[in-house]
Amino acid sequence: MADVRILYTEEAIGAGHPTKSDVLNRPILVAHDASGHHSSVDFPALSMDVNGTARVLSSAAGVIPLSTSGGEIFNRGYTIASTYFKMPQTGKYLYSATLTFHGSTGINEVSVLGLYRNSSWILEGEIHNQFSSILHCMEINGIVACNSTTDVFKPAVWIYPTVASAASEAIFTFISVCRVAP
Amino acid sequence: MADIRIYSTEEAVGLNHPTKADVINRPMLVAHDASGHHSTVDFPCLMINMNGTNQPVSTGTTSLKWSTGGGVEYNSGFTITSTNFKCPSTGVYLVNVLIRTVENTTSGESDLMLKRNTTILARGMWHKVYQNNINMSVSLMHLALCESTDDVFCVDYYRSVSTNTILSSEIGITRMEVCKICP
Repeated sequence: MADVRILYTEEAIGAGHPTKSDVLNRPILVAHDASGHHSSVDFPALSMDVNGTARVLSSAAGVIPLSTSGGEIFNRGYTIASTYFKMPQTGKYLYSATLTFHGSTGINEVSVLGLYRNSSWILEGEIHNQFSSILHCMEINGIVACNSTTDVFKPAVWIYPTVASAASEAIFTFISVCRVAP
Repeated sequence: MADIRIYSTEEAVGLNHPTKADVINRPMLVAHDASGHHSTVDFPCLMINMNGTNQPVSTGTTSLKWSTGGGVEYNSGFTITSTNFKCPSTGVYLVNVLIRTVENTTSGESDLMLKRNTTILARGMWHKVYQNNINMSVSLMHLALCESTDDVFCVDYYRSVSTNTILSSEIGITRMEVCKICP
């Protein structure tokens, strides 16, 4: 990022000068608006109601399909593809995912909700279903690091064991992400 | 909000001049304290408990009842009524809801929803397989965008059959925290 400090060789010019650039406000108002309050520049956020469509979850690892249109509740600069999202800046992000699903007939099935960063599995929550045909709500929350804006983040869900009867239907999936630290 | 930038027509006066206003620090210290660190101005928070009375929930949707008095642990500018709240400024808020329920006699589906006006922003549904006075805690955390300070936020609880009860006998068992985390 650019060095915005005022140098001693510069004239101390404020806003609105007819010919000269604003020097004084330059470093002060980075990531702040003209009223001096914080702008959203350093805190990009994303909220998704994933894609609004019930999906059958396979009985093995599966990346949760993301909406690239109507499912976004709000999006401030994130790149959304069908199976992943990318952050607009490097930094530390609060990540929260909630998945409600309906177990079919599988008993003793294990369901895992997690997050990949590139090929690394970095966050995981698990629930063990001892009863068939009931609703579960799984939630995972964490702080995740985006080390490069090319990092690919993939929300994923696994259902065990690998039998057809363990297939489940996702009902509601909400994901929210917000940068909270550089 | 006011434009507080330093203008080229102003004198570059600092703090404590005997007759002139502080110009240099004016834009620097909005939403920051005198030490230069962030103040709470841009990050209002609310920590609130249920109203202290256990709330029976019949079949259908019911808004949780929040305290407007002693159960408010911290409030920096939120408007609270018994079943909803309004944010003090637009922006993105982290909302965390924790509830404790006790199943009465019949197992059924329960649904916890965070709403802005009538729009569902986040939702989690679960099925109680136990019954007869088994307690259960459930939480829901999500980001909520406040687009207008007139937006009304509430937490609704849906019950598919029969009744159960949301507990509020102790501080902290049915509770909500809200904090603005970005503009």
